[in-house]
Amino acid sequence: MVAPFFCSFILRTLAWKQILADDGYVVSALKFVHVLAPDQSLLASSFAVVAGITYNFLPFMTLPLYSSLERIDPRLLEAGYDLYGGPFTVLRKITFPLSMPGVVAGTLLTFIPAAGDYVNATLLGRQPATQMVGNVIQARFFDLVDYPAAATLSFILMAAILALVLAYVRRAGTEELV
Amino acid sequence: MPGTADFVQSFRLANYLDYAREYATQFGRSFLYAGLATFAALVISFRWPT
Repeated sequence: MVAPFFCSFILRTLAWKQILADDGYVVSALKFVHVLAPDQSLLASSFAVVAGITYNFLPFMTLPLYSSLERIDPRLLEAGYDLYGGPFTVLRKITFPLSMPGVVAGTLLTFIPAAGDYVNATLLGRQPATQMVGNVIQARFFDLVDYPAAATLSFILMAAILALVLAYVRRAGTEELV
Repeated sequence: MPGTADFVQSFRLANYLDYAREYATQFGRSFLYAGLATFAALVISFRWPT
């Protein structure tokens, strides 16, 4: 899973552009089974942007979660199954609560950079309806050379993320992470 | 390219509210996309080691 991440972030996003292209295998197959209409495409859509962000930030979620799951005593899971718990009940009652430190760390490490990302929206979104605030900051900073507006938007984004993270961490109950 | 010396601090704090209102859609979309991607990554990650 980590191997593709030795390659550049931009190259990986461009690879997704090829995968989701109108003449690519994925779109052709989805059109063949009538999941997509003949005039529909996956590129330049919210789906493409979310898929790109998910793929690019997946290791930030998987690695802390894996280290957390690895520490769970397998005898606890066996005890859950012995008490007639199904796979979903064991996941909900045992695995998920015991992996909460990894879940909290992973969600923070994924959500924070994802909220400020603009590369995926630029390469995979390519239309105003999928523009994220990172695109606005990038345009204000580099295209319009409007530093005060770019700084203001960056500060608002930072403050909003901080407020969301504090609320989330208070609710999740792991204040030691902050 | 202008330098930082070309700008004067006016302490007009209403700028923050003005820009937050003007780009509320993009802020909302950023948090929505980031939230969806985080949830998708969480679900995929739980499936990965098993």
